[in-house]
Amino acid sequence: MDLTIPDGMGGAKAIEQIRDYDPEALAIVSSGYSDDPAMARPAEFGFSGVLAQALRTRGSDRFDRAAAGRSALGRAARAAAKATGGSRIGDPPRQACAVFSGNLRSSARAGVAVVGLVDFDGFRSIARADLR
Amino acid sequence: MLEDEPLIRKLIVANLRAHGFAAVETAEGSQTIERYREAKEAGGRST
Repeated sequence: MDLTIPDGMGGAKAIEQIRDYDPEALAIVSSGYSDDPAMARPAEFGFSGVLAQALRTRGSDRFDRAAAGRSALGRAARAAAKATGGSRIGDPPRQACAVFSGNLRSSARAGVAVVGLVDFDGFRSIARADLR
Repeated sequence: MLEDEPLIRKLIVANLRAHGFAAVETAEGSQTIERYREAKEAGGRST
């Protein structure tokens, strides 16, 4: 569940109401805002887990570093693209990269990351990639 | 699945389905609650 929904109800309010209805409901909070209290202390908000979301478009530092393969996520994304025959990071305009991972540090320890590559014309590939 | 950005939403839902989950896309929280109730009442296990 995304925390931030412009002009609408976000994940924190939604999980509160869902758990009023069904106290056993399980939900994972997802946000690019890693400093949000719900990301830092998910249990206090009724979430069972956290999925960090790193969505960056070309030109941002994190995207460029990832595209250049200078981060674990970038290497994972490259590996995923190669493995699936999908879009390569670094290919022409209009391409964005979305990289998802559960807690990156624990994912890195486990040696895997869930990675997605998104093209603005539609998503091309998703894959689990080996970080090593 | 609650996510307002369509591409990200589709990406995550496709990923969840690929891993065997029954996933439904929603773009706004009240819609998520509604779909959760529907799934629960239909007897499906929904997270």
